[in-house]
Amino acid sequence: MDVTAALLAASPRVSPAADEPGVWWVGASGFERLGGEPALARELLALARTWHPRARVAIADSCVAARAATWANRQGQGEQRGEDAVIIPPAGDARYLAPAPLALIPMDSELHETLAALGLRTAGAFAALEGEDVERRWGADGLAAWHLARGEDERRPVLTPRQPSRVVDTELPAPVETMEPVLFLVRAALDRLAAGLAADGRAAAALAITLTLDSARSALPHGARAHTVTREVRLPRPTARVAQLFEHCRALLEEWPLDAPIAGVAVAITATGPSAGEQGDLLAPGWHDGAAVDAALIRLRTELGADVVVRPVARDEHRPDQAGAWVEITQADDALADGDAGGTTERGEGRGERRRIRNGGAGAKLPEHSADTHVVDARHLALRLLEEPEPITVEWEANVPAGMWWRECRSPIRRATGPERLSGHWWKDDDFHRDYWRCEGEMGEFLIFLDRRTREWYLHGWYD
Amino acid sequence: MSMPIAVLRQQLAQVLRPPIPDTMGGLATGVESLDAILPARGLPRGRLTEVLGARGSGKTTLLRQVVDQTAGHGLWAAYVDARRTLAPGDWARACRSAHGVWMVRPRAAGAGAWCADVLLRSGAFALVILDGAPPLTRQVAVRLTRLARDADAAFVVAAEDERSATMLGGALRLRVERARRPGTRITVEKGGIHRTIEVSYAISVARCLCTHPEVPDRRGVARSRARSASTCKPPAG
Repeated sequence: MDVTAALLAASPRVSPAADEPGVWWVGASGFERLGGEPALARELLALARTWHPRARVAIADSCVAARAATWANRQGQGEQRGEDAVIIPPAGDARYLAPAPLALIPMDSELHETLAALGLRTAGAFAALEGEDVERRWGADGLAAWHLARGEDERRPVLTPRQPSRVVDTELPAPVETMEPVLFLVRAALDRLAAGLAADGRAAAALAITLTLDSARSALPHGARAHTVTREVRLPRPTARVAQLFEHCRALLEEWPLDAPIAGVAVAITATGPSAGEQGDLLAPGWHDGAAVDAALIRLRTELGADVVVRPVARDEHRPDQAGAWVEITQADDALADGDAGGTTERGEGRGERRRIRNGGAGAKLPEHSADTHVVDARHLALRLLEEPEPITVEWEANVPAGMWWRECRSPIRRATGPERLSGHWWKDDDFHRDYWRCEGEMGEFLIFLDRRTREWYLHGWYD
Repeated sequence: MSMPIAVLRQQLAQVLRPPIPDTMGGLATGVESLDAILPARGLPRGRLTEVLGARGSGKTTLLRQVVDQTAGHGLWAAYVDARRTLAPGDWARACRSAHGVWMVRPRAAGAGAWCADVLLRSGAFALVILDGAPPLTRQVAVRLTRLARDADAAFVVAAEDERSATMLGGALRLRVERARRPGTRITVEKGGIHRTIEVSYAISVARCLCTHPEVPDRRGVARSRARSASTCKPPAG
């Protein structure tokens, strides 16, 4: 977008070439009173070389000839050389392209290989074929390539509306080493940018923050560019609201390691989209602002890391700690993905298998013998599990636990039910052999187990 | 002329009728008798609610029901599990809908209040529960309550610590205790009629065959024995 904007200073018709990164089509007609094509070529070359020192410019009647001429110029085959710009005379495209290799004519690789196999190696040789024969042999694609080889190209640069600049560049009065002053400036910059977006009916789809660092590299000769670092963030959905944009910027800045004081900050909206204009519904309490949720999610993930914002899924496992899993919510839409009918069940033997089905959904069929997993059972006590079972000492009497020591406190056990003997996964690395006891004591109902391999007792969790 | 006005009034009344009447004032707890004695017919939105209870008292079960009710009405709920002890399978089976339920499990319990801040600030959640976080300071509680009011969200702080009860100044305080029979006793200590509701719960035990290729070994027959007194003996194993 920046290159397009710069080239618009030379010509009102500028289009980035489709599928060809780094190539722009620029309208070159109507410059007779402004020095003609040589003057335009010089101006374009000067503009382009601010972006790349070996940029090339060619002027022709057709885009295909101009593109080929920039390549030929690099090879030293320029028609009319003048400061690395090539100008092909009017009506001279076919003649210019005739000796050009076929690789300079856009066509699919299969057609190119076929022509090469037939001994056709230049655009002129291909153009010399009869059009009817080409169409009969290679169809519409072949005919289109044949026209291009003759310099007949319908592509034209279009009139480009001038995009307003969506950059706010601010210099700090003195270099700072913390992000707080930068956040303050970013907020102010977003206020201005969001106002511009709203006026144009647009929303930001991506924004970039450029920090100018006051490192040793900034002590450069006058006119040289300072040391800048740019980071860009793509928004999950376009938004023009300052609060949400600021949350994304803050998340970006907070994870930015600083190796030098900051001397300036620039906030740019690098991509925009049409403003959705979505409005909340006063009578629909379930309506949510997706952009706000996205901003909250990115903030939580940035600050706390992955696997922090999750939702529960059930698993077909016996062990209490494996009977469910937390699945990370990576986008706000994830929370709605397994929507409306019952909890979610994840089937499979390990965490690696992420085959999820929705209970009660149209395509979800659970085996009959696992039907218990989608019975909603809200009237039972909730289980809380320690992340890692903690070792305990159990007092044993009459073949049942009578008391336990946990965290240096004794808890008498009034009632114990068990054992529920669970074992399995002997075919994997995490085989287990446990005797579970459900106990009742001063801390309520809790779950302990005896690891039969090590003969050690553990507290696994409690009902709360 | 009077006829069209009457029709318009009728249509207006239909349009303005709240689609979910029981969620406009408060969020239903799922315990009807408790909702009946609460002024907002549930947990008040835009206010702070304290749920206090010792470990094993049943407060998690109550909160799970609130989340279930909230999500069941199409509203979003967030649960900050600061101690990372919730059992996912238990929640997946107990909630009718996973629609819009976020569980936030920070790696440090101290980050719980910050998580609640971010969630409330987003304005997307009708219910935000902060469970197991260190006691909130008065200033943090006031800030979070203000955010809850701005977002029209019910903000619930669940704690075991008795001391935190008097510091937060919530609009509603519920104390949860274990009942003699399996269940919980919920007492409204502040913000409503001082009454105690007793709710019975069961403990679900898996008695199922699963799709697992190996049928679990459950040869141990459940032995249950009530004990009136405990006797110390050397630990087994």
